[in-house]
Amino acid sequence: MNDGCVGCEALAAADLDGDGLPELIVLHESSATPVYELIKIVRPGTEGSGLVPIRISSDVPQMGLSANETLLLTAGGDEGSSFAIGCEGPRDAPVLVQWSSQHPVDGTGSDVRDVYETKLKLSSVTAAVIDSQHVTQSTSDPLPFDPLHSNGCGVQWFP
Amino acid sequence: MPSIDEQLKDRLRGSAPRPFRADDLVAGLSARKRRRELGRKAGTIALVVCVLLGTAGGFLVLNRVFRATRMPVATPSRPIENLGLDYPICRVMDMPITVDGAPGSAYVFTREDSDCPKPGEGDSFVAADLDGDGRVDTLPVQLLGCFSPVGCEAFAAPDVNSDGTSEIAVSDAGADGYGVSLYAVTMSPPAIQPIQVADSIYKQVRPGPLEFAWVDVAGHAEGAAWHTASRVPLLNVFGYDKFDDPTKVITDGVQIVGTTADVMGESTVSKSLAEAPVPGNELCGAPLQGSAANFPNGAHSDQMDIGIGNPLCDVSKVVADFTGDGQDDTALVGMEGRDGRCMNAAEGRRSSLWTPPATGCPTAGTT
Repeated sequence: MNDGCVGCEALAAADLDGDGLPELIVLHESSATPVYELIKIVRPGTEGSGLVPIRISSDVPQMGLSANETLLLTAGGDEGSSFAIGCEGPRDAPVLVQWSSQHPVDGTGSDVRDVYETKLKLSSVTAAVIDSQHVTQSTSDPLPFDPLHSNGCGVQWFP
Repeated sequence: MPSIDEQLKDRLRGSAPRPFRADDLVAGLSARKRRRELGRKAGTIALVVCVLLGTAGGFLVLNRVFRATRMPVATPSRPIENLGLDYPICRVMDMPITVDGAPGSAYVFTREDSDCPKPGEGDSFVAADLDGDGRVDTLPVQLLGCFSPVGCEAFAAPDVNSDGTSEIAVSDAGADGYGVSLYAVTMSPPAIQPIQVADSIYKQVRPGPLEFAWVDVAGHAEGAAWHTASRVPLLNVFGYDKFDDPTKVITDGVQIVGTTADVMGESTVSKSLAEAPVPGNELCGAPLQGSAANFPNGAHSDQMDIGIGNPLCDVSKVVADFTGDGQDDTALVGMEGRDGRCMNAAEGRRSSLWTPPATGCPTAGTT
């Protein structure tokens, strides 16, 4: 999932795992649905030192990720889908939240959207899903998240 | 001028015209993932991430796969009188093309009457030699709107969609820059046809023949760049005003298949004028021809020598104490150039480097 770095930029540094050291957030693909990669910097002299992309510990189909793949977070919206990234919990134990929704633009099922909320806890170079919710709702109902504004952990993810 | 929220809402609405199946988000994301995996399998260029931790003197490298791109093969054209046409021609411009991987040539020329018309006058055409024998194999397509004093010219012949056959870009020059039209080469029968945008609700690319501007003037810039992350590479047609800094760069992603162009979406991104894309002297890796070749190299000046043998180009940075030693470190993300210079985004390699600003990378410097 890490190929095709397009319009990459160093976006921000933020402590996403609560260890007191910031992780680097890199804009991996620049578009209406910007995709972000999180990179842990492990100091030389310590085990696993280097520039280490944070990986997901288990399959997360609602995020299109399989176990041990690089964690990619998405904001914004396209193709009838919407995304948002947030952050919950105290500063020393933050929880990343990836929201997403999807519905057919027209035809059967276009009046109902699937909404997913996935909560992630980062620890060192791994992200684990600690909670996952899936609900369906009418597309006439407001989204339970705001795809036009993604803020969390001190990071302006979108716009 | 609509508010940012309104623009974003418009963008979200506008970017959702294509129906998904009645499956759920998982299906959509899986499809997106498959596209990325296909792209990954297609290439051989290594995406390099390198890390220099100044406080520890460490230098760490990760290699990743980045997709490769095929470039048109440059071959000399063979002069045959009037390119095999049964009428005299003049003002002949030629540029190399690739047809199913084999070399050919595209020509822009003017029909000669009693005398050769001045540039922008008379009848101008585009045609192609598909087998490299020096004779055009396609019926000439007349070019309209060729204005004096420059007239229509061969602009570039990139293989935009990496299908092994070049697209042919033809320009007509205006006061501020160029209008560029893209043509596709088809084999059965041999022909050149304007690439058509079937539908578009977006700002940069409108329905009809695929056209875009190549302009870089005091208050405005437009152009196109390659986006090679998707399975079928996209032509990103961009435009922005220069009255504010940062500015809003509007980009339409165009996918070309055969003679059809689909506008896949539009983004509006705030960028500083220094970081905004600029129309340079190449289109999707193919050098510009004729008078447009005088456009300056589009690479940004924000490049650095970090001692990796090539400049780090289009550099962005984040400063933070990543290592917890009480000193600020600088994370740099940029494009690794090639042959000592910054290049088209699809040709380069992406690198990242960390160094504390107190000492700096030993060989770092802004050029």
